This record gives sequence, structure tokens and C-alpha cells, in this order.
Amino acid sequence: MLPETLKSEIVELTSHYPHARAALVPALRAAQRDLGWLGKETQTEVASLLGITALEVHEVVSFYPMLYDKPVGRHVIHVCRTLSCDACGGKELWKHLESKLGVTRGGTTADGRFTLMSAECLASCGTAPVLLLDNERHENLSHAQVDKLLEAAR
Amino acid sequence: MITLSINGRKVEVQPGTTVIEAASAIGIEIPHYCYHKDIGVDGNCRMCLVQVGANTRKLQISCMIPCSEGMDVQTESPAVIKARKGVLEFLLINHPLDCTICDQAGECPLQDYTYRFGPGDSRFTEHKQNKPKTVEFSDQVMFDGERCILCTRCVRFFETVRHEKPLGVENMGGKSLITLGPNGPLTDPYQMNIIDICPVGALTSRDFRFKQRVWFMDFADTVCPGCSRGCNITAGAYQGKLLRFVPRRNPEVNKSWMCDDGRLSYKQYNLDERVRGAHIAGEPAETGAALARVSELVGDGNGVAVLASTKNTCEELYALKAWAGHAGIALLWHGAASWAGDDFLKLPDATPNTAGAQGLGFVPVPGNRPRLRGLIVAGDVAVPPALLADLDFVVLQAPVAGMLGAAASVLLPGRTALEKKGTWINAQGLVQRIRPALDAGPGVPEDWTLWRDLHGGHWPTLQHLQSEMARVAGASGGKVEQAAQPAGSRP
Amino acid sequence: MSALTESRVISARFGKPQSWTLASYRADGGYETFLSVLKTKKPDEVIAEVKASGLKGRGGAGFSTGMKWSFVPKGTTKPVYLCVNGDESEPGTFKDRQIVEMDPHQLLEGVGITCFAIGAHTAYVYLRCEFAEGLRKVGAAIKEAYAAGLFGKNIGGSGFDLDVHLHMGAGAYICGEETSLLNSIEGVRPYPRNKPPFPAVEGLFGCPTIINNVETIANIPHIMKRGAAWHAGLGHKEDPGSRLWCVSGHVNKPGVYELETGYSLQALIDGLCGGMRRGKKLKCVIPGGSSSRVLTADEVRTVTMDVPCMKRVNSSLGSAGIIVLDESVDMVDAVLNLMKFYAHESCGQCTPCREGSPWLVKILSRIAHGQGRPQDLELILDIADNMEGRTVCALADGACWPLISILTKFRHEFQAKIDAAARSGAAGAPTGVRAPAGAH
Repeated sequence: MLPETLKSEIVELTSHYPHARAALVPALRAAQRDLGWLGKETQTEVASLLGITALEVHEVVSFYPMLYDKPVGRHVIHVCRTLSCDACGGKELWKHLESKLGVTRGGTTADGRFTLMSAECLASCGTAPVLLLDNERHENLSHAQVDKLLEAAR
Repeated sequence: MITLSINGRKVEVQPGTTVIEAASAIGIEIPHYCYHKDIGVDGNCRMCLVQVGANTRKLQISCMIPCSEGMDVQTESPAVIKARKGVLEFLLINHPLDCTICDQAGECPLQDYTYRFGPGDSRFTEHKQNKPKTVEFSDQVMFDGERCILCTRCVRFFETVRHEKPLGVENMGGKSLITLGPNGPLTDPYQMNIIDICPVGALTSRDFRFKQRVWFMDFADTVCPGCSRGCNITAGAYQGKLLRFVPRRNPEVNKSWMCDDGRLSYKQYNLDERVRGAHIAGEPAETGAALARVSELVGDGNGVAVLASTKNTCEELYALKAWAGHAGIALLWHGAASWAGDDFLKLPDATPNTAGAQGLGFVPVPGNRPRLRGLIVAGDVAVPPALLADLDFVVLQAPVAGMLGAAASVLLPGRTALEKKGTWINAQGLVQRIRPALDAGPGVPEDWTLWRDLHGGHWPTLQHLQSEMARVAGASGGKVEQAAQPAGSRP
Repeated sequence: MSALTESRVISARFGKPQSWTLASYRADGGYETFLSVLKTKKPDEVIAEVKASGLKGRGGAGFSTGMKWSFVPKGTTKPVYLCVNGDESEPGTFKDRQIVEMDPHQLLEGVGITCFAIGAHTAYVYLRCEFAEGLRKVGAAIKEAYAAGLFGKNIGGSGFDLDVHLHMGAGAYICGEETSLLNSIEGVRPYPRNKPPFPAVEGLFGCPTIINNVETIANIPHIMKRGAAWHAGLGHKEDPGSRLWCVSGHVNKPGVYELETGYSLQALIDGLCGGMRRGKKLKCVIPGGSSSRVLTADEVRTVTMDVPCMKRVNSSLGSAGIIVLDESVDMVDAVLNLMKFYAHESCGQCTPCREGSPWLVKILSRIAHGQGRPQDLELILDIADNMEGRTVCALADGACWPLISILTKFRHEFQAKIDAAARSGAAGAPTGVRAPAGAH
């Protein structure tokens, strides 16, 4: 069951549009923020709040990289892999994270703490390399800074 | 009207006509996958690209663009030919090319267009992408994600024709996949239509899968006998056995669709046992002797009625009427509302020619039973038991004898709806031609010849009979020649 | 070559304390233009002014903004919408993010004026969800604007009503394509739509809709404040304006620089950007976001950053994302990186892009891994030829332009790998199992 606060947040979102369905992506992001990921039941509940079918929600969830239809770790890391970052330390940052966390792309650490994902251009090319930790941007990262970030994320 | 030029040929069209429609109207076929006459335009396959004017870089999709005055369209310019070849190559690189075991082979636009427009060899040497195969969409429909070219006709069929959404597309880019998603199996009673409109072998009929290569089969363009809608179909048979019905496009009757019940009803026309030759009191007899016995039983016709099945053709009913009317026999018809209709194609009258019987003056079985001494049952019909009480004799003319045949004084052979030639008139009054998909074999003459011979034998051929019908003003036979549109390509 | 200095218009307030608050914005005269436009101008006059300013869209396609606005059907009975495109995800581009983080009210004032001009009473500001900070800042700014009576009913007593909503995406580059963005807002799969109908006639929820980039809208208050002539006089006369240029890659001082059009690219690299990192030599520049055609070091020396010059060298200013690469860059790796981007971001709707872009990745991966074949380069160019101009939207074009230009201008690097593969006997070895001869 979706928490009541989330439900009322979604209902409020629908008031921004002439059709409730338009609140779908923001609603799913809100649900994901609160629940970590978007399971089948969550998708079905969001569907019924917006008056659409679970399949219509699934079509959208499965499209967007930033909507997760599988469980993720407590913290999600997105490392930018696109050209400017790649050319300015992104490649090395990725390798560092893979070996530090012991997972490959999309993997979650055994303790469930981190999920490591790559992302396409995060619009921070001037401050490469860049990653998002739980959707917050961290720029110009040395490996030592990354280690500190991970340390702080319990 | 708008005048444009396609491949240098002038064509005049109504405003709003698309280029693909205008081309089709003058016999220029523009290959396409996602566009479908009865589900509309989507624009994803890019197969119908044409050149408009001199711009060879930005080609346009002919399914989408409306004709405009003075437009100069090229469907065979070097740029178009190359683009088409390119699209086909793209469609083929991840396609499994398992035509050898694919049921679509032989009636596959991916094969056909590749043969006509495609590259002759492959430049793709990488791993093909793997996707789910043998996915059971339902008891009737099997899905192969690798064969799928993502034209989304199936998804759009449900959306635009059935106004429901059991199928969707999941994932993005090259990983895109047609899916049931969280839905259970397909339940729609028209779901099997997606098999026909699938331009590749991604959706196959679990009933027909691996039964036969289509090029070994025989096909007849005919009409579904299942109800009074009269959906146009192509019946496919192999070595005297029906293997499938598929809908045949008729914009006025069924568009490109038919119901799954009608589609699967082909099975009932593959008879294991049937009446061959005439029988008198259960014993085989010469047809002439049997007919003489019928005349003798009928006598002056008083107290005798014909009960005609509304699966009979207009021609059969006409011949029957000619004899029975002359012999003073009452003309009754009886259908069998054996199924409920629905809000789409399926009508409650589960026989194809009630309108024909009515038009020829046959009357329904009356509520208060007429006093009868004899009944002649013509064709496959469930006789109301009340009608059979206290009879001196019954004559049955039908493909299958059943209980009634065993009790009949005279038993005459009959053909099934899939063995007949002639016409039916559907519920909307449209005269439609039916053609035999199966040969009835020995001892089963055309039904109408029995009534002709009883009557004393005009009409050497069916054509003679039809000409006479056409001459008889007022009789429904006057509409005989307005048959459904000729068999086109598969929907 | 004279040293470049920044011409800070859009970025004038970046870096000021609390630059994102309403108090700070109003202290600098913010929203005065909006309120005065509401009182003194007619919508058509605003459109005419913006047309005359020569402002072109800053999202990448560079279409005249005033012209676009004028396509909204006059006297339409349907609601009109404004969508602000802040899905910034063109590789190399990071200017809109700075606007929404550092001066969201500048954007919102532009939203107000634009809505008044096009007759919209509802606007959606679409930001990609990765802009956590931008979402917070714009969200707060919208609240402030409502509280101050700058949005809502009867703004400033003018009788003009306006609702502004924040909408977020979920990480798909394709949503930056304007009709895909509309589908994204509507909550369906964000496939680009076939055009016509164009969004100005039939857009969001089937109603007339204008979609403008964040930076484009941020320009509007300045144009209305200082006049069309002022704007038309900035930079190159055929492509006027002051733009935010995003420099990334191998320069000492990457970042966003605001300059009038028509400056020398080499001067930007050598001057404001502090030259090449670690004293390395420049190899090439992708000048307008990853979808523009690459310029070699020799070309970079000659070009000025304006549309006419970019046309001459067959490239484009696009989204002003300038990616500078030095001699250490392996161009096969670089183009493979970009093709992976496009293959990942292809929505999958059109056959050529859905199938072609992953195929290109496979071939380029093979070449990069020392398994290239002599015929691969012609094959790549031909695949690109079969993709470009064959799809609903420009994503496939955007993939092909850097690819074709990099392959053409740095062909020797590809050839060297292929030759090495031939010598080692690894040519053509998979990535894939070879299909049987004659098979597809």
C-alpha cells in the first residue's frame, strides 16, 4: 500500500494537469523517492490513482532509465560515462568504483548498500568526472573524494 | 480535387488523401509494415518512404503525408530504392531468419519485400540480439520477440479497433519488446486478428502452428458460415482437410477482421462420417429411385412442409422453392440462434443466409405447430422436436445423417457450407459469393441439383439457375451479382 | 588576436549571494519588465519585438523564436500552453542547469512574458530529474512568485492569469525532442511525434503549444527590457545574441562562458579557457553539443562562433556545447563513446535508428578491440547514410553527423586499427558469431 502522504502528494500532482495521467512520471519519481523502487504493486496503485492501467504504467516505467522496476541498494550511484567525462577521468572513476564496490554495471553490493549504475551525460561536463549519489550531483571527483562520499553514505 | 504526380503519372484525389492511398488508387504499391488500412498510421517502420520533389536527403513517409496540389512524388527514385533497401537490412539484422520453420513463410511481407526490394546479401556479421521466444500471449496466440519488427500493429489493433489495452511496448531502443506487461493472457474474443495483421511470424496461431506450409495448401475466397454477418474469409485446406479460416478484407462487411469463434469454426466442416449417396428406409439406393420415392411420399403436397436450413445458398433455396411451390408444399425456414451476439461483428443469428430465405418467401416455423403429415428437411438444421411429432414421413437432405437420418424415410446427401458454390445474403442485405474450399467427394452432388431433378430438370448448370434468378424481378436473386469485393492481398 | 571578455547578460547574476531568491532578483529590477509588458504591451507587439531581435532557439535547432511564437493560431478557442524545455542532456551541454540553479527567476520572468505573448495561461517547466538542485530552486522560485502575486490570477492588476507548474523527466535524452517532451508530460511513452501537425497548432493535450529551451526563455526579459535593436546588435549580425557557451574536455578552465556570437573559437580556448591542459596539442573540437560535426585543430583556428561560419565549415552551433579534445584522445574510442550514447538513447520507435545505432556500436567496438575489417569503414558510412533523414526525429541525424565527420576527418586512426587487425589475423572476429555466407 502506498503511504497516505504519498497518495495525497500524487493526487495534488494530478491537479496540475487537465488529465490526471500527465502526473505519471512525477508521481512515479515521488513513489520511487519514498519506496526506493517501483514494484508491480506500486505501479498498479499509481495506475489506479491516475485512472490508467498497470500496463500503461509499465510501458513508461520500463522506458526511463531513472525509474527502477527492480530493487536497488540503499544508495544509488550514477556515474556519467559520456564523452567529456570519459575523456576527463570518468573511465578511471568507473573502474575505481567497480573494484571498490565489487560489482559491475547495475549491480548491488552484497550488503545492499550501493547500486552502481552508469548514466549518460549529466549536464556537468565542465566539472568532469561527475556522479550522482542518490540523485545529488558530485563534481570534479578525485578517487579520494569518492571514497569519502561512500564512507559517509551508510 | 487535388492533382499530383506519382512517378510522373498524374492522379486526382480528394483533399485529405494520403500519398500511399493515392498511389494505391493508380496501382502503385508502396511497401509498408506499420500502416494498415483498418488501424491507421503510426509512422514507425519507415518502409513507405518516398521522395517528394528534389529532396533526396529528407524522404517522407507516404502513409502520413497528405497529397497536395502539384506534389511530385517518386516511389522508385534511386534515393527511395536505397532507403528501402536500408530499412529492410535494418529489419533483418536482428531477425532470426528462421523462415525454414516459420509459419509465416510464404505469406510474409518481410520475405516478400526483401525478395522484391531488399539487399541480396548481408553485411551484418555481429551477434544478433536475443529476445524472448515462444511467449504464450494466450491459448491461441504465440509470440516470438526476435521475429518481431515492432510495427505495433498488434498493440494498435486492440487500441483502435477493440478500445482496450491488453498489449503494450516495454523498454526502449533496441531492447523494445511487445509485452502483456502485468496483464494476464489475452482474453479478447477477436484476439486472433493480430496474427493476421502481424507482418512477420512474430504472432502465430497456436491452432495452426506447424500444421502445414502455406504453399502446399489450397485456398478459397469465401464467406464465414458462422453467423449472418457473413465475414469474408479465405479458407485454407490441405489434402481435403480445412486447416484454417482467415479474414479477407471487405470494408463494407468485416473490414479486415473476424471473430475467433468464427475463425475456429472451420473444424466442424472436416467431417469424419457423412452421407454419401441416397438411402431409402436406411438402405442405399439410386438417387433417381430416392427422388421418385420423395415424390411419391409428397403426393399432392397437402400437409407437407419443407424445413430449409438458412445455411442453404440462395440458389439452393430457389431450386427448392421452385420444386416445392410447384408441389404445393409449405416453405419454412429455421435458423439456430446458437450463440449470443456481441457489440462488434458477431450476430445472434448463427446462420449465414436467413435474409436469403426470407427474401425468397420462406417463412419461420410458426409458434402453433401446423398439422403436418410429412416434413422435408433441407440442409443442416436443428429441427424443432415439436415439428417431428406425428409425422408419416421425414425426408432428410444433409451432409450428416444423425438421429434424424436414421429415422428418415428418404435420406439424401448434402454439402457443407465449405463445399458449396453460390450466394448468401447477410444481415445487412449484401449478396456475397461463396466458393468451395473442399471437394465433397463421390456421392454428394450439388444440393440444388436434387431439387432441380425433383422438379423435372431445367438449368443444366448453376449459371443457368443464376441467370434465371437474375431475371426474376423481386426475388432476392436479383442481387446475386453484387458479390463482395474480389480477393485482395491478405489484410 | 584580441583577448575575449565575457558579455554577461544571462549569466550576469550568476555567483551573486542568494542569486536564486526573489528578493535578490527583484533587487536587481527583476519582474519589472514582466509587469510593465502586461500593462503596456499587446501580445502581438511582444512577438514582433522578439522576432525583430533575431533571437534563435538555444536548444540546438536554432529556429527563430518570434517566428515560432507566431505559429500559434490566432483566435484559437483551445487553451495554449508553454513548455519550457529543461531536459538538457545533449552531451557537452550544461548551461540550462546553471540558469535554473543560479537564476531561476530570470527564467520565470521569461515564462511570464512568453505566456502573455502567445496567449498561454498555463506553463510547464520541464526539468530532467537529475537536476535535483535545479528542481529545488525552480520549485521554490515558483512558490515565491505565486506568493508575490507574480503568478496566479490577475497578475499586477492586469487581468492576465498564469499558472506555472514544474514537471520532471526521468532520464531520457529523447525527451529533449520537443514532441517527445509533450508525450513525456502526457504520461505516455515519450516517442517523438510525426509532424505535421506542429506543436504550435496541435501540441500538449492536443492544444496549441510552444516549446522553448530554458536559455531561450531567459533571454526574453532582457530583450523586452532593452529592446529588439539592442539584441540584434549583439555579436554577429546574421546570428545575434549573447550565448552561454559550455566548454568541456581538455582545457585548463572548462566551464560556462557567456559571449556574443561571432568570436574566435581558438581565442576562447586560448584565452578564457586557459589553453590546453598539460600543454597538450589540440586535436579537435565538437562545437555544438555531441550531435554537431567535429572540427579539426586546423579548422578551429579559422572559425568564428556564429551560424554563417558554422554553415561554411559544415557544422553547427547546436546547443553551444563545446567539447575540446587533445592529442591523447583515440578518435575510435571517442566516436564509440558517442555512438553508445545514441544507441542507448534511441527511443526505439523508428527502424533505422533502433536497429542502426546498436549495429554501429557493434562495428565500432570491433574496430576498437582490434578486430576491424577493411570493409567496415565503408559499411559504417553506408549505415549512417541509411539512418540520416530517414526517421521521425533528428536523433539519428545527431548520431550520424559526428560519426561521419569523425570518420572522414580522422580516417587514418580507424584505418590504422584495421590494418593492425589484418596483420594480427583478428579482423572480423566477433563481437559476433559470423552469420553463414549469404545470410542476413
